[in-house]
Amino acid sequence: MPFDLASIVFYFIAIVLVGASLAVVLMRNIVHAALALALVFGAAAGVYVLLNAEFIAIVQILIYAGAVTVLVLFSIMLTQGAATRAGSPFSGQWWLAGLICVILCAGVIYAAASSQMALTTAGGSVNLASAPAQDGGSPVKIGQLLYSPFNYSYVLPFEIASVLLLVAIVGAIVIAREE
Amino acid sequence: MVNLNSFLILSAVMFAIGLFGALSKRNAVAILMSIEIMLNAVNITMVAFASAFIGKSDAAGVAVGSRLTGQIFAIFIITVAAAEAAVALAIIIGIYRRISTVDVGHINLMKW
Amino acid sequence: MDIFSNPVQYAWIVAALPLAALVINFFGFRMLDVLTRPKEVVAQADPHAAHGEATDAHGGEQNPATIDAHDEQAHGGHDDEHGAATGFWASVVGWIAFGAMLLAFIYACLIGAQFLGNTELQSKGVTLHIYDWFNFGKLAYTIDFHVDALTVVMLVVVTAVSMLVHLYSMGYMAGDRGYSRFFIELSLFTFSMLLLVLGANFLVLFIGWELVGLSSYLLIGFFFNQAKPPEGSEVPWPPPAQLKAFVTTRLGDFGFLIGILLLWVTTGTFNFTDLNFNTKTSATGLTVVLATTAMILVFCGAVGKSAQFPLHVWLPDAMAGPTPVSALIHAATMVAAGVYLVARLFPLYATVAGPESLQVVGYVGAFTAIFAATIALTQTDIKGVLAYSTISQLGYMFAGLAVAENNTVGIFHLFTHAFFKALLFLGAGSVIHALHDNGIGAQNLRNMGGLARWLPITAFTMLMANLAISGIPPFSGFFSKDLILATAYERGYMPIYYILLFTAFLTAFYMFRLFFLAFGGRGGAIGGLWGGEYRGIGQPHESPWVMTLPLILLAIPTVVAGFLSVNNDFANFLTGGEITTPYVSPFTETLTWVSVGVAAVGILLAWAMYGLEILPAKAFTGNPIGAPIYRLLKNRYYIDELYGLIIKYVVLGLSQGFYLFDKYIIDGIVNGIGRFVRGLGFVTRRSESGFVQNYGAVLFGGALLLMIAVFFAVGVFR
Repeated sequence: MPFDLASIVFYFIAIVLVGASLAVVLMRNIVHAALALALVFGAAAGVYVLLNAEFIAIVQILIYAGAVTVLVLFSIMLTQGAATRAGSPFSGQWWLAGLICVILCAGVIYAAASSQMALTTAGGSVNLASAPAQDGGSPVKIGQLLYSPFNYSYVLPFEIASVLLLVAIVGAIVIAREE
Repeated sequence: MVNLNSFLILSAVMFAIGLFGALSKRNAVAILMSIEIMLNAVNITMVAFASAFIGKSDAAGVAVGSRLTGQIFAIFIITVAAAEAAVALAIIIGIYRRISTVDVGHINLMKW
Repeated sequence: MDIFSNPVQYAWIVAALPLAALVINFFGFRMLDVLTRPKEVVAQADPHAAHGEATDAHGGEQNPATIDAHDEQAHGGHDDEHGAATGFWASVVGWIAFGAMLLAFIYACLIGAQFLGNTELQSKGVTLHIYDWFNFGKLAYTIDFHVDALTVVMLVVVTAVSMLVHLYSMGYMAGDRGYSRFFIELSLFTFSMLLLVLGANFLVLFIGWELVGLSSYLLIGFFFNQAKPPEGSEVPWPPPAQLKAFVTTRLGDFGFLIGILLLWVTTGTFNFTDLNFNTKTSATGLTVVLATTAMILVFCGAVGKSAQFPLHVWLPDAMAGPTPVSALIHAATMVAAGVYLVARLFPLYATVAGPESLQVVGYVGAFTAIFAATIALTQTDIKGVLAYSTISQLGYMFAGLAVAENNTVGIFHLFTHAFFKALLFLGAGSVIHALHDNGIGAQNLRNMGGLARWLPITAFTMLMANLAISGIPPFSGFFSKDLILATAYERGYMPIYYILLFTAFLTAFYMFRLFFLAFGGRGGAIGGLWGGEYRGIGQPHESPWVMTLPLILLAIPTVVAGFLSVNNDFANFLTGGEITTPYVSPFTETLTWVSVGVAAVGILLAWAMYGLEILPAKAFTGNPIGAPIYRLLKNRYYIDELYGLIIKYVVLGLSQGFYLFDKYIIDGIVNGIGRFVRGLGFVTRRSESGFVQNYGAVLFGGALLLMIAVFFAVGVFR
């Protein structure tokens, strides 16, 4: 069945994602671009829901659509003088960047399409969007995997990540602070 | 039909768009936004792989799919991305305070 | 205990004692001394007095105004503004160093006692393995000590003289600010010398060889901040003198090192025992010519260290050091290291190498003997005379080694010479010490005369040493000198015999010239021998007991050591009883009386000229033939000037050439490379724009290329 509901939803979200991403990159007004970025984050959350990863989707909304967007808007506000200045938003090497990106994109798509692994082993033929829900994306399962001291878990990387966050917070404050 | 490849192709296109922005935009904040798009593209592949592997076992019979490596990875990526965003924006504001511009075409201190 | 019942096995203790004293003093008591001694008085108008470590050597040039400032009561003979008394910790340093030397001397005597009568020990010796230095595959470099009769003789001589010099220095250096440093450097020297003597292979010997060179350098320049003496002064200035000594001996060491390596390459060993007794000229690629060359090269090292012509120039200048140092290092022990080296390798010289090698040794020695003796005739610096006398006597030793069929003859002269020459120097030091407070040229013989009245002990012991060095029976020098002369005559080395015989005459003359000028003179007792007219200023005084006691102790072997050669005892001891030629008493030979007579003529001539003063020196130097000869000798054959010219024109000229080569060719290449790289950088630095997006584009462009490469590799494009 090529066109079940899940597929239709997927393609819709995909079009929104690509369009919003293009808008972020191409729009001249930086504030509009930031709003398009929020749309990208929201649509990406939709992709996660489609993949039965509810926890990730919620985190995506909270952190990206919420925090990061606000952060970006704040920095736009704080650097307003520069944001509104006239002239092309692109640098002189945009054509080179475009060439690199197009070839890279084509290469990755080709590799993904012809990859034996993607096609056979990992259920390449399975319709992921409409696969039966397992407990893979549930907060309970993720929580066990992140924190459990007894079972197989990612406790240590998690703790390291918390230290990284702390360092980032301190670093950000030190860098941005006025002398 | 929406199989793994659909997600990978979507991700590749998003990544390329983000990369184009990162390499060509002049505003530092816009570059940061482009990088966030790239990170999101990668996250989509991660979660897609995790879904594709659910219920799978490796050659030794270990149920690797139940470990949800892709999703856990996505969580860490989000964490790191948040930290990166905070530090990067602090740097941008610091630069702006110093030289009153966020145009990377005017910032060539890496020469020294 | 084994240490006392079998001391040979613990011979390293002898060397370890001064090393221990060195370490304890350097890291312990010298620190205390430096911390506790009074601060130096800097505000002094007179440069001589401004530095604390003033010396005997600059007395002659002191301006008279400062004489009054001297404290007549102070013994030490130095600028006494800075405390005439030695500091407490400084004297602790001195006593520790002396105590270590006393113990070392006793232990060396214990080892000697074990050797007495033990012919196997005497001939074979004992090799002590100390530790493995490093191993390269089959090659093992070891720190080994070898103790045989020759080593024992050297051990006893070195420790005895060193011990007495330590004692003497306590009086001579009293009150000097560098007192503790002096004793530490003496300990360093003694340790190095013992290491040199004990070494069982070239490596250890060479370490000791260079270490004694270093300590010699340090001690010659002991008064390194002494003011420069005025032009025309005979007294050498320490800073250039120490450099001269170091560099000149280094010239010889260069040949020495090449010789060692030549031997090593052909025989594969550094070990003396292997080299001496197991070297075959055919089996190891060592031809006779090569062996001869190697031995002459090794002798180059001896020439440098033992101040033989043409590298003798450093030794007279080395008298810039304190007089006890001159006695210990530059008369009795270190300069004899060259003689020891040849004696140690004597089997190589005599049996492996061709006869030319020993002939070179003999003729260099004989020529140096007469050459230095003629210079000594005219010197007016008391230490200068003794320095040239030392060079001359060392030449004697080399000649003695070369003419004999074993090393006993040369070593016996080394043995006796060590005592009487140390005595002569210490006596000269006593004289300088006595005169120094008067602020006149304390080393100049012209300012002495009649000193026997005030310094009877010094004068008497000096007289003993003078008789010994002149070869008057029954003093020790007579036996050793006569042995050399007799051997040269018997074995048919007639040129060497006549040269040495004439040198004996010169030696007797200049030594008694020194004695009469210093201690005797017109109007003295016994025809001017004892006391006479004093040409200096002020009141000389006899030295304290720590200085006279070593003189008396040294006078004993000076007088009696010669009798060790009776019945070939000394030679038998050295060779382990292998001497087969029957002993002939020197008193029964007419030849002996020829040499004694020659010496007596020299003494009488000196007596007539300087004691009775019936024969004025002008009679020789005033006529047209004598005057230029006198000037030539007085200026030491202009050797120093000649070397100065060689260095100025040849060495510096070559250097100029090399400098230009270096500047334009070598530097041209180096700078050319630099300029090329710089130009390259000038071109490529455009790629470093500093814009982060350029770098990002390059990064991802690189990733793109990698991707394409992988596609090629997996065959996508095929």
